[in-house]
Amino acid sequence: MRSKMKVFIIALFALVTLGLGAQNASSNAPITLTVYMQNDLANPQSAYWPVTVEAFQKKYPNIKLEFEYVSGEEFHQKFQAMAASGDIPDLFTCYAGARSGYILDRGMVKDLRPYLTDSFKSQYNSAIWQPQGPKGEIYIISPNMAVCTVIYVNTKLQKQLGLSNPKTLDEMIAQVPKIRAAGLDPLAFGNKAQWQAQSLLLSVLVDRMGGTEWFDRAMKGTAKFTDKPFVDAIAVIKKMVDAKLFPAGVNQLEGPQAWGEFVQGKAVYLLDAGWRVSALKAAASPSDYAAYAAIAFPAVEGEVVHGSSAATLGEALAMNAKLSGAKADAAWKFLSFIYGKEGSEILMQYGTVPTYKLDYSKFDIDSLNKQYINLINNQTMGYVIDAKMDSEGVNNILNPGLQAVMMGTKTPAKLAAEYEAWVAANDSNRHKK
Amino acid sequence: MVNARSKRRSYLSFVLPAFIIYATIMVFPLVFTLGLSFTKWKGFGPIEFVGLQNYVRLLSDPVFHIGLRNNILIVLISVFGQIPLGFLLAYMLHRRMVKGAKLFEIMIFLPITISSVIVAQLWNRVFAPVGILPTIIRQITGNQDYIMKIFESKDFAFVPIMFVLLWQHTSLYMVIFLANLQRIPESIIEAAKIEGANEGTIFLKIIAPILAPVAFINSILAISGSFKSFDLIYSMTGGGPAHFTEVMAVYMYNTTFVFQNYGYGSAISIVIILFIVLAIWLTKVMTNRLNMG
Amino acid sequence: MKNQSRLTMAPNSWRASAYIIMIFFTVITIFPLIWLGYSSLKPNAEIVQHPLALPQAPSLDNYIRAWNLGGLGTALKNSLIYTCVATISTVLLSLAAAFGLAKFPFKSVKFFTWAFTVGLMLTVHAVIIPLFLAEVRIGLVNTRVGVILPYIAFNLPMSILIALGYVKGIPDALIESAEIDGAKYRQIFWSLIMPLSIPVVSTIAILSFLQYWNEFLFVFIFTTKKALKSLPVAITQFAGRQNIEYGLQYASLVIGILPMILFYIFFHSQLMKAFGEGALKE
Repeated sequence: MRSKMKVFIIALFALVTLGLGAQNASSNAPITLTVYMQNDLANPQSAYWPVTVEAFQKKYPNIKLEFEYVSGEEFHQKFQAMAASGDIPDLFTCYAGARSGYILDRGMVKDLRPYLTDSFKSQYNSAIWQPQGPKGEIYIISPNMAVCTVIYVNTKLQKQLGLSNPKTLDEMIAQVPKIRAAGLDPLAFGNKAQWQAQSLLLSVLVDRMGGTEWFDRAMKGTAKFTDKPFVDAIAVIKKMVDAKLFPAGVNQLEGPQAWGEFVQGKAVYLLDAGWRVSALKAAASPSDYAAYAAIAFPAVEGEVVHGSSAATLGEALAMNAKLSGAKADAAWKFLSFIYGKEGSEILMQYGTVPTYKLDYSKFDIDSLNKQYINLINNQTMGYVIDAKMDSEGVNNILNPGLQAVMMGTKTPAKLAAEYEAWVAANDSNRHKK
Repeated sequence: MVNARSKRRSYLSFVLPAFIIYATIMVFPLVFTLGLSFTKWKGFGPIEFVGLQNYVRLLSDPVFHIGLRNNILIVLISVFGQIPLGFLLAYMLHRRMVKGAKLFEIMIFLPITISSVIVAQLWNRVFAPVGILPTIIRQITGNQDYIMKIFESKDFAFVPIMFVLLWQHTSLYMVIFLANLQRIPESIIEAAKIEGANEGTIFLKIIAPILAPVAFINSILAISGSFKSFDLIYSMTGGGPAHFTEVMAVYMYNTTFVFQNYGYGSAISIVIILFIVLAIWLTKVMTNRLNMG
Repeated sequence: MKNQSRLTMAPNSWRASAYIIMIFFTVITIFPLIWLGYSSLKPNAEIVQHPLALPQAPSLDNYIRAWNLGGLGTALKNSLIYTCVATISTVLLSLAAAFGLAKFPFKSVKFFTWAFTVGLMLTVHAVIIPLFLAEVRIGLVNTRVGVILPYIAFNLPMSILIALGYVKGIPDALIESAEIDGAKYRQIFWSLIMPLSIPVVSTIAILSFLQYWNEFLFVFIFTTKKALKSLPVAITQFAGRQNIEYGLQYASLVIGILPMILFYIFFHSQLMKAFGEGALKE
């Protein structure tokens, strides 16, 4: 065992030396970048990615990329261990906001502002240039706005049942008996992983009841989560459960199972995020897909904001702060390609609307995407809660608590009180200097 | 002749390699974890010493209590479910109460050879609302809305998991018991039969005493495994919904990796170890008492 | 003795209930696996529409795609490497340690034995973060050694205790006569102890093999490269939450289950011996 170690250490040393030597050589020598990406290649939504990478390799054959893909929460857990060790790859998936706090707060992500000239920025939707760090840093070029609440409609089923788009939640609830009598689920939704009820539903409801203005105050502490907007928002969710809008066992359904149901024609509506469009496109038959519509979450009684959704910047690859010289240049070439014109065009072809301003007339945008673009261009956007608030409060109290409320073991008021208690004592937003 | 010093050197050369690997990988990190349990740390930045605060918090933490309760349930199902059941099956197989024993034996042993994470995925496909079991029941009862409601019950959500644990581990104990039953010389049993003993007496006087130490060891294995239980539960429900199926190890994992509360997570780890030690000690005490009496 | 004495003398009611219990158990054990098996031969659309039915046109298509998309060939190779190397190392190290602790009358024997026993109660997660940090410092992350060493360390307590019980039973006289003949301890170990310990070697090897093959957490945390993933990790990442193709999921699960089933079927008599020998010693 010991001699194995020696051999290993020597080999490592040799590799490092060779590596260093190679970097000092001519700039035509291939540069290798390591990429740690939150991605699941088996997911239909990721179909665009191999195409993008191939296009990049064609243009820059000298830049080699080594990928590691991990999907879901495991990505974060593993990444934290990597961050703890101080050894992270050259490029990695990063969220703008609390979700990636564990890497941003450590100062390990490069501020991209030196690369972002005005002419560069003007090619994008200006919403993505909001400051992402405390000193105005920009860490990622977000390729799409992650709009978290969209109601997808199976208009074929709708017509069969003689229904039309509900304008208010009460109208939607009134449709339930007819839909269920036909053996269908009204609103497909899966909350087994717990975050969906908070990100895709509570966030938009809180925005409707209080708006970003109230949320800003709640973050600072001049408003509390025991206030009416928050409690009422939770109560709406309970109301939806009691009205049997969701499939039975909504808290046991995984996300893919829920939109899988919609695609199979077993539900009339689907509550999901904007990024689900490309998955629907890949999974549904073309004739079904052509009959899908996208509408805003219906109006809720007592709302002060109308027709909004909740959105946060979609995550993107970010650069390791330690990169410099040739490697940093190569990394920038990669980022500006995949989030620039070429990459955005590929995204568009696969059904995702990029933040890069494209001439839409050049693309044959399908009907669902047209409706979706139209929808989000005419909505105001509220905050997504887990992008703003600390992880422990959200994951340990709020998310499970919402499940408890949905299952009837906790009242909205109690959950609000528990969450406020934790936030007041622990959340970093309240404890900012 | 071997002198004392070279004997000592040989001795150490046999024991130390194993000990060094073991100590560096298990013991030193453990000390580190113990130290961390008295701090507040988010994985980077300053480490703040907070004394017993984490342990005090555990006393009143409702999530931890649910986890503890569920772990104890696992202990109970292991010691009073898996082990007796394993014994029963082994006994039936050994005493040839059924034909085709070999085949049954192979079938029943299968579950323990499968990785826990895969077992979890398998049973998820069975229990999920879109899964096989609700589908069968829907066809039988005609109730299209049927789902396994038990997962949403605060008190009983853990039952399906206990069932899967039973499914997975009973076979292990069955095999251990069976192997030991097979070591009992046939002649003793024959002799007893000749003397007119019936099945019941054979069991009480011959088989039970021989297998008692085996049962004891199995209990120890079962108990320490129960408190550490992680893979299956994490993959099946992740502790949800709403913490109903939480166990201490899953809570520790989330606390450390998801909430980044390293100090509190470390405290939970230490407490898990303490429980194992306590439970094993109690088992030893009770078994001694049973042997005396 | 008539052949009849081979079967129990229990009354028929016992026999009947025994059959019922046996069959019930077998069905519960086997049914999910069988269902998984034949479902994996169906294309995804058919699985969704007819979840219970037998496949109309069974095909191995799912398996081929799952194998390629999930990189399962590499994963299988890695699992073999991790498991075999770790098992062999565990056997050698624990037999050596057991020899030292059983047959050498030093005071430190008590300390070492107690130290190893403590290891039975430690959990993986309690040490995984400091361990990861340490591995990074030494440069063992993303190496096979970095995975194999913790495997061995975590299994040593159990293996050593099992081996200890057995080695203690080897008569001292044998060792003493070898000593008198002038044999060095290393020779005694290899030519005397090891051959005599075949049963317990087999026990430790099989128990270790079972544990290492199915292990998940270490490989997941300590390796980032796809080239180093083991089978359980590759499968769970592939059959995970984002994938909606049930056919692919089922096929990959079957691939994950099959090796150990085959292992059990082929080695089960050795397994029985292993459990018999191992468990009686304390």
